[in-house]
Amino acid sequence: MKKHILIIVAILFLSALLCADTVAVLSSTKGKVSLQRKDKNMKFKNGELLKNEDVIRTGAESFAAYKYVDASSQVKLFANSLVTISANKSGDKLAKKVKVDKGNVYSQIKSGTGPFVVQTPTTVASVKGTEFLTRVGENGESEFVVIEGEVELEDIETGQTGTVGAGQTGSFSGGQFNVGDTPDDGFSDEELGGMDSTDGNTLIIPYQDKNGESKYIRITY
Amino acid sequence: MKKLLLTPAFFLAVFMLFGATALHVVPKDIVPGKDAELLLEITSGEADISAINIVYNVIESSISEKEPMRPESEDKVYWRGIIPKKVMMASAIEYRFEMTLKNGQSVMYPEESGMTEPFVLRPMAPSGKLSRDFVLISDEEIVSADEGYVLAVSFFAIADVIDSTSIKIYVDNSDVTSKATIEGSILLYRETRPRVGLRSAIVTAKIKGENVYSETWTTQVTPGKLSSYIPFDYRGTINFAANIYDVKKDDLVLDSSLFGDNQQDYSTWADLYASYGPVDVETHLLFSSLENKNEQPVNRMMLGVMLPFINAYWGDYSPNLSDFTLRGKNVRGIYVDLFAQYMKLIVSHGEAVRKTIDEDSMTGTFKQESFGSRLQFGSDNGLRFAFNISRHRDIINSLDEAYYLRMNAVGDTTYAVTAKDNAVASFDIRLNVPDQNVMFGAEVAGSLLNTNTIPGILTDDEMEEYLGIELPITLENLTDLFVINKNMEPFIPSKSNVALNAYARMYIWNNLINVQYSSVGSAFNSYGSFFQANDTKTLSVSDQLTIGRFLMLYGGFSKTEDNISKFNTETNIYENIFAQMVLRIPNLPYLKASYFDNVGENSPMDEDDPMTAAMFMPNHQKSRNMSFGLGYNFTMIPYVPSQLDLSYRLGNSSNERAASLDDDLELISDNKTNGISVTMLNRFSILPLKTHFSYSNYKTENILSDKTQTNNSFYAKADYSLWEDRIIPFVSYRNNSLSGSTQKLAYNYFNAGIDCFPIKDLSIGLDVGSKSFTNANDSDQNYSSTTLKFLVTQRF
Repeated sequence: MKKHILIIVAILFLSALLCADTVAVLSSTKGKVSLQRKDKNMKFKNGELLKNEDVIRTGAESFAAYKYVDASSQVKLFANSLVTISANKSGDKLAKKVKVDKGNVYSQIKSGTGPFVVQTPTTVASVKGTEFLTRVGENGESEFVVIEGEVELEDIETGQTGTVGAGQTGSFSGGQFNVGDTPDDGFSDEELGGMDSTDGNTLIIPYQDKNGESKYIRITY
Repeated sequence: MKKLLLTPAFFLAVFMLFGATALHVVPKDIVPGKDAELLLEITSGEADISAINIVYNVIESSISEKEPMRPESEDKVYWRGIIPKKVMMASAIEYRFEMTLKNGQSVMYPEESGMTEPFVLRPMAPSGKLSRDFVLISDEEIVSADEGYVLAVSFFAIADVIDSTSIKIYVDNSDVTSKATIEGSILLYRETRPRVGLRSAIVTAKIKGENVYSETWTTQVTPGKLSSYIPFDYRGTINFAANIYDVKKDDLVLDSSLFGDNQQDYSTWADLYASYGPVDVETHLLFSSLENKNEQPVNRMMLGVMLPFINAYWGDYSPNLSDFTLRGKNVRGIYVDLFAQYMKLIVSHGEAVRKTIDEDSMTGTFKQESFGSRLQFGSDNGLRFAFNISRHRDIINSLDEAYYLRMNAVGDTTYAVTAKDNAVASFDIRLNVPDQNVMFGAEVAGSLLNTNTIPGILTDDEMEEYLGIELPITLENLTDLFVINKNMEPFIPSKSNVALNAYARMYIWNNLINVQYSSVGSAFNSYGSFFQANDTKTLSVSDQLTIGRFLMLYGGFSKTEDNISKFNTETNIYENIFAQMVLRIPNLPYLKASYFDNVGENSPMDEDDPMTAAMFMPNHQKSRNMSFGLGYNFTMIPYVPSQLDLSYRLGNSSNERAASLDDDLELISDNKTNGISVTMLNRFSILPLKTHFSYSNYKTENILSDKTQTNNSFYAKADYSLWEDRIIPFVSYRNNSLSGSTQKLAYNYFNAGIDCFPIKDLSIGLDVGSKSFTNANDSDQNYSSTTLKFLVTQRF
């Protein structure tokens, strides 16, 4: 009995530690953005460290972006969105999760960096290195627009699964899995602006010129 | 942040100043986060030097700071000093050495002549391996100042193996670790109101004892729409020191000053530098218990404000107008420098001091009213010319009458010392052509000196009776400008109170050539400038050749001749030739050598004049000195990497004299000297122990009397670092002995102490020392003393 109590206490302690762990960094905000931690609104600045179960909400014409601590994933929230972020260390990788209650969220994930799951009120999407957009309506209806890579969807109620590939849009409706090609005009201006980023790798090589002054060569590949 | 680059910063320079020469090799093994140790070797003339400071500043910063150097031994051949680690975190540092001679003159090495660059120290690249496991999360390349500067770096992949206490974050070469947050596997540094411009950052750490460092990340911070933030930077030091002496002789406790030791003293001083946008402020304060109104002032107070078009200083300052008017003297008052692109006006007014000494060796100090002004036109990078004036007038009632009034045997009042009045006016011109690396310049000055202003001015009637002519002006109206009476030297200004200096400098094919001619009249005096040899002309030529970064050759010739006024019956001529060489090949010891040859002789003004010939005694002096040396950093010695410097000197000096022109020269003195100096610094790698040894042995042999005198000096010091350099106890021993045919003297010093650095930038030092003096020939002179020195320094 004592042993069980000790194990429970250890788990709770570890959970508390994990809950308190820093999981991401708030890299950019614009407009009306709020951050909640343990049900309390928090004041924050650019570069704020985000903890497990932090809730981010964006208002009208607002934007927020954050990156996970393993530097593998970037998530961008468009206007009128509400997400809860979490992550746990899984072996030597970070298992990441984004719970999207409403709004449009763009995710960019590097492959081979640990599981990445996006959960909406109706669907769970497991991602394996990709770029995709999650849209959740006011009634919780969800669709996933995949730009690159592949996303596996699972309907929370029925357990049905489906795969959405690059250039496709997928969703569950009435127990049915629907997938089709994403139309060319399938993105709003706000979404297009938020997804545009120079995500190429950049290498900076410092050197000294003949006058002894420090200069840099920047290579993007 | 600029990546910390490994730059084998190499600069050798040799400097010659009035017979003192110095040599400095820029260290290349500078470790970030540690003090930069600098070693300066005085190759000749060390006896003339009283103090040396390192004057340094961050490149492109106008604020310079000073750190004192300490001689390693009594012979003052090697001097050591540091540039503090707090400064070494910044981008490249440039520095010079400020050498103060015993006559009060201070000059910089290298000179601030506009053609000689200062020494430069560039921080090294971090040691270890580049690690790509430091990943930048805040990767915005361009941010607005309104958003703030954010550095967020993830080390998730190495979180389990990294030593988190070893993580250091550098932004723009400054260590900002204490201002950053490290949580889990992420570190975050933030500036809410950042400086606009290119910012660079790097992270270093240790993984299983091995050093690693990240890439260098740069971010451009652009001006924001909100009111721009002007950073307020400040730094400085506050110090307190106490020196307590206790002398014992024959079981009596006596006043230490009786035995040549310093008086007990307590002092506190502070240096503060601050900048806010275009405004720089500098403050220096020194208060000492040694302050005595009848002696040279010790206390110092100065407040300086520097703005884009004006620099103003209140308090103690050393104005620099021109070579002949005002240079190198401390003036306590106000100094204002108004400058624009092609014009400059400098005004200095305040109080200086002049030491006096009478026939009975009684010393006093006159306060002087000092005034100086310079009006300059032109550009420093082209043609410029200027008019300068200076005036120094002793304030008679600033000195107690006891110091200057005497009564002679018949009851008349005489003056042991007199109050003087001195005025100098000069014109200087300089042409600088940077593209051609040539510079020409000249200054001509005239002076007036009144050797005794105590009787006051002459009335107009007295002056007219003295001169025999009617004066167009009223002398009383000129009192504020100059006191005119019969004590003026000369009474009527002439060529004898004119001085001239002309020079040409050029840099051609790696040769820095300097040609200089100066001529000082027999009655020229300038109390605002350093000592000028009257009635003398000097021509000097020197050339410094630098071949790559490996070889430096320096040589020159100078000739000095006095009696240019032809008033004296004989003329003295001194000729000096010198040559120096430094050879430094990477990974090999550096070699140095020098040679000095001085010859002086006199000649009669008119050999055919029987009276001149009868009084003339030919005199011929010669001296020759050579030195050789080498130095090396033995990093390959296991467990104890060591730095070694070794010098050997030899020389001889002789004096020949004859009773008259017709007699042969007879040798009246002939001395030979030779000696060796060694200094070694050992840094143990397996223990936090550093040892320092210095030994010198100099022998002087008088050939005529067959007497030999040997001067030995030995110094050893060990310090042990505890608790990551927070506590460093040390012990040191020094022995100076003078032994010869007629005397054997010895000083022994034993010191033990501790340097503590309990919190960041605070240092507390305690040094307890024991000194003993023994005279083998006269034990009555033996004595011992104990000293206690306490120093607290807080940097901020």
